[in-house]
Amino acid sequence: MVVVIVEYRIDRRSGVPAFQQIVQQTKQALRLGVLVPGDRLPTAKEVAETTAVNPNTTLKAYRELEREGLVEPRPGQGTFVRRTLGRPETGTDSPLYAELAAWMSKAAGAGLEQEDVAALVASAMEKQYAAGTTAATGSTTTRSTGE
Amino acid sequence: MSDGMYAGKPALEAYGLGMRYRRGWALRDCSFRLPAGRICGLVGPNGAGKTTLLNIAAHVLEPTNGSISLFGEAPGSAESGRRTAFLAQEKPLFRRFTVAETLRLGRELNPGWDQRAAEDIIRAGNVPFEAKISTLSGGQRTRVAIALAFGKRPELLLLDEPMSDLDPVVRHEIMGILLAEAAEHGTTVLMSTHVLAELENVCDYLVVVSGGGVRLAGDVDELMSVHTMVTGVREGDGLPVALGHHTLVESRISGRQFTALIRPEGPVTGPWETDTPNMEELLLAYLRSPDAPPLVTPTAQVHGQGQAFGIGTVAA
Amino acid sequence: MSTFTSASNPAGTTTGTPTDGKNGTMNATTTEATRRPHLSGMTWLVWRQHRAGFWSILAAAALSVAWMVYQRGQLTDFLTGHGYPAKNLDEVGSAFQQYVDAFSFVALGLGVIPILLGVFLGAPLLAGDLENGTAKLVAAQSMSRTRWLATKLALAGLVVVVSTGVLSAVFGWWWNPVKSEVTVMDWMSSQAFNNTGPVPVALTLLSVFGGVAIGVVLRRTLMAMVVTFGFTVALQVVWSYSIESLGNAVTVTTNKGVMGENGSPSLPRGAYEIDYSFVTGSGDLVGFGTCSGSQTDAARQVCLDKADVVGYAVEYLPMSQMHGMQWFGASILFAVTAGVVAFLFFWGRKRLV
Repeated sequence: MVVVIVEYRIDRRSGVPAFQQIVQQTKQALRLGVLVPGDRLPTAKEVAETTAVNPNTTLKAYRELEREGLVEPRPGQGTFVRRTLGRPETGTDSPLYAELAAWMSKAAGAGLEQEDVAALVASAMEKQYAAGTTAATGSTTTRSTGE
Repeated sequence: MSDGMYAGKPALEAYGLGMRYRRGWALRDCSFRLPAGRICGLVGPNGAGKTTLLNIAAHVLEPTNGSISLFGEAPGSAESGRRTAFLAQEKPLFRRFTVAETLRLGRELNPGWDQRAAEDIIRAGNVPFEAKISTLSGGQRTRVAIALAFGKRPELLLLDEPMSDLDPVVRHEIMGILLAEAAEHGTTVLMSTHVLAELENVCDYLVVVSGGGVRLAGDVDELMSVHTMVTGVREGDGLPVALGHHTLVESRISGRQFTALIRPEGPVTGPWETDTPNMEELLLAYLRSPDAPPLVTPTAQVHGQGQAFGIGTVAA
Repeated sequence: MSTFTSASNPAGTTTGTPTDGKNGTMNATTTEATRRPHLSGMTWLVWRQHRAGFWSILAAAALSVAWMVYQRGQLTDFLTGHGYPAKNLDEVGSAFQQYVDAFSFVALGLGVIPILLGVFLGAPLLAGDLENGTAKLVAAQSMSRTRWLATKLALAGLVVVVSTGVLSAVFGWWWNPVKSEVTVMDWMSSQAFNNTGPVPVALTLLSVFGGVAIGVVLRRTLMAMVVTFGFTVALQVVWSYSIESLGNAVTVTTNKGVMGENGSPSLPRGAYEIDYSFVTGSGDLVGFGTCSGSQTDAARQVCLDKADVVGYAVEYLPMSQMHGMQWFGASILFAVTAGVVAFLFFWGRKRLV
């Protein structure tokens, strides 16, 4: 039996708590279609073995994902994906992507550097999704609350 | 394992532990509690008493005063001896034994021996079973020692500087094995180190000893959440007066700016930037400031402990 | 982030079906178990740790036994050829000397066994583990350190008792045909007394366990070996001075004067003379040198008469006491050894890591 599972990559220098990195990377995998409903997430043991992250951290991340309704624990089997975050609009063949690509080439034509573009996108994003998640860039000011 | 994790039965409790050597006190009035199922970092500068504490727990040393209990039993009792495994700093092994013979040692001397778990750890490092211990590298020897400790199927694993002589790759891998085994069997781990970077993402519990006493003990998330890192423009020669009613752990002034680690006693309001410290910042602050009031969170307090500090209360 | 299948996951393979390596070790263990006497638990560990030393001792003992059996054959052949015991060995001459030398040579070797085993078996037995930390390794397992100590002492003691016991028995058996010949070996000499009966066992056991105790206290192998060497040599010296006092000395007196040829007392064969003196008419003993300053025999006789010397008084140990003296001495040594063992258990309860 070949089970496709994801491997988390924990960046210890990013300042983002490990459990949030796991949440973000799982969501990213859901968005990209790497994980689809019915897939089993790696067990805390498997994550610990490959990334040397405390199993409690992984479990905490999974509880967070469970709270958001993305995964569900099945006793004795593991944690399974319930629904995907992937939408037609997020694919690279969507009209929104084409519009963004066109805007990017316009920005490049206007002589903007990569950093300028990133700053513009970030500030526009902040304006639009003011109370938004920390998914894209992460945040160092997040307070971990303990359970 | 998630259920056992926060159930909070103690794996280890130290009551007023003191240890005096000829040169002076290595450990003094040391009290804390480690709930079962936690992976706990035992942190402190060299000579802070970490090894002494672990040796008392492993029944290698007898404390001068106080006591320690493992699952409610004294160290050295048959029960606690069976449920506890200890990996000493020098990782002693019989040099003339082969790897297979070393595992047989574990099998012969431990009733609950798990040969397969031990062999898996050896095999994952491609260490030949017929090789003599004396021919192995430091990392391979550590792996064998860890296999011996894990094969015992302990409920409490005491590790004294387990990674000290390993290269980063092996260090990461051994830590992975350690955490995976702990995840699978709900093992409680008490691991000493003075390398703070080793602890981030690994430990969910912390005991900081310095100058022979406990400076900080408790759940990592809890410890982080009761501290705040404040950065702002300094007032005069020191900290802003408005910060005065919070418990100060450490403050530093550089140019016009001050940075302070505080335990807020209420809302922190002012023209300052506040941030949750990361584990390294928290540990460094406590290790650098021996006069900062110690903090032992409720889950880490033992019953009848003299110096109990609740979260957020002003400590003497 | 990357994806992979469990087939390429190292964790997946190790937790899967057992690999060849595992089968290999299991087979090796089972064949080893059937080939050798089955040791288990602590006994296996202690035997495995010290097997080189234990086997060396047993092999050396076996070689010595073979040599002594051969020598005894040579000796009895010679004695039969000579017609002994019908014909005594007084006029046998130099032809017999090689058989006497064989005894001295072997006795010398056997005599240093307590020192050798004390230094090379006793001293490092626990000092080695305390020095390089393996005591901690053993203490970290599920068995008590008292059990470890008991097994170490029991196995080392067994090897000592078996090897020295067999050597002692065979040496005694070799000596037996010429036991009463003082010219071969005086029974009170250390060559004979210390190498037969229970004495070599008791001396070696005390030397070895004394070495163990020294090692446990000093916790350094080399230092323990040096100190144990001193201890075992001192033990030999003290022992050789105490042998005489183990027996009940017998005194014979004569009353036929001390000047004549036939005045000397007749002692049993093999008697060991402790003290030779003169006895007076009132039964008092006076020194053997009394009147030795006299110039002539006549003057000496006058002097002796004046001192009322009527004969000799000789204090001696008969050879019949040898067995009793050996057991008496050995039981003192065994008692001291028991004290050392008691100390080891008392000390080891807290300090054996």
